[in-house]
Amino acid sequence: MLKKIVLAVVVLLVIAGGVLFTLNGKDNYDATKYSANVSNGLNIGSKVSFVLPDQFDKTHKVDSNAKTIIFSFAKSTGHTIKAFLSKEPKEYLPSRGAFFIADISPMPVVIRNTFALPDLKKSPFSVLLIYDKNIAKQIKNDKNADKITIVRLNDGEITDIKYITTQEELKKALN
Amino acid sequence: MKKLVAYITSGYPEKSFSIDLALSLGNNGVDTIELGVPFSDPVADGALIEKANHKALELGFKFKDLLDISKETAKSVDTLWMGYFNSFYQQNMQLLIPKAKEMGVNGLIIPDLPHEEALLYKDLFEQNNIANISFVAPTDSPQRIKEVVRDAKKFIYMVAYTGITGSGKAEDLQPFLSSIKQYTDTPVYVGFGVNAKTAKEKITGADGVIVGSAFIEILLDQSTSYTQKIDRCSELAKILKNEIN
Repeated sequence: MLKKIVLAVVVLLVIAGGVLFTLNGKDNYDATKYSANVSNGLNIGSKVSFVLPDQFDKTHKVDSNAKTIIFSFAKSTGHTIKAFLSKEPKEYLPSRGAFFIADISPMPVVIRNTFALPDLKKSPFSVLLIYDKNIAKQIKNDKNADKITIVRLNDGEITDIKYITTQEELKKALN
Repeated sequence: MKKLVAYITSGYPEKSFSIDLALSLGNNGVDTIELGVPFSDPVADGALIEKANHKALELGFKFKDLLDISKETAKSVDTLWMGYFNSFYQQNMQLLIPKAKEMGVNGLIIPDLPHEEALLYKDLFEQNNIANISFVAPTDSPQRIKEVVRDAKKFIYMVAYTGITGSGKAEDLQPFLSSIKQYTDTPVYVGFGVNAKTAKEKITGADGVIVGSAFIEILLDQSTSYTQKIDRCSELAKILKNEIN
């Protein structure tokens, strides 16, 4: 009998914890507002467009207006890109028709909300964020996920892809 | 007197060094030592701490090293463990928390354990008089802050990234700090981005600061000997303590 009571209490605690987590651990991300249209992954010839929020919850459209997209799928590449852009003027990316997109979908919500988003808000430039695993899986290339991905576009179609690692390479790619 | 908490990566570059460093810091103004548990993917930490974590693991850090280090440091300085939940969970929380108490450890800091899930271990922490340090961030809603700080013990870890607002203006953390303090008398310590240059500004309205990367940067300097690293960290601790008081 005692075992059953203890088990019931544990189950109730887990359910209560789950409910509380759902109520309090959720973020402001509204999946219905954001999207990705990718015809054939991140490959040459693929047509891509995105509607994504930045770190300040401002919505950005990336379509035929984009000449270059810088993708980060790992914390280390995100640090490299941020370190490079923090030395440049705020308009550095827009003036080149370039966008910086970071995949934060693998992060636990608590890490994302408590550490990553406040940290990103230190950056004056826009970092477009992929919260949704369903968007990330359309473009993520696991083989090169630890590298910075530079995609060149012409009217929304990918014309070139490079995988790089350093700030120097990034500078060269954006000039 | 405002408090200074210093984070060091346990076992980097080696176990005996961590003990010597922690004891020296304790003698030079550090009130609490945060012994970091090296982890392969320290998602909440910056590049320097991540590097020290990886190096410690490469050098063969084992969880037992943390126990050995803690046993020595806790005799002289208030000692906490900081690590990712998987490291602790693998040790079996039911056995680990009493073990922490036995080692003289006073609390755990687990950044990837949400408050709501930590409630499952609330009794275990309380029975062993071990604090599970609560985090609050500027992104938290007032309702969530209220919920989190209600159960806070020892101190509240305020993530103090001084970001900018969407309009490009520098973010003022004082309203955030005030919003925490309206719900609790538990001291609030600020962490993230605190160093000798920022400590004076970050301590405003808070009860303590937590400094990690500034110490780890010294440890990662390959050009200095162990003695020089300890001397430089101890000097930094003195400067920080002076800056915040």
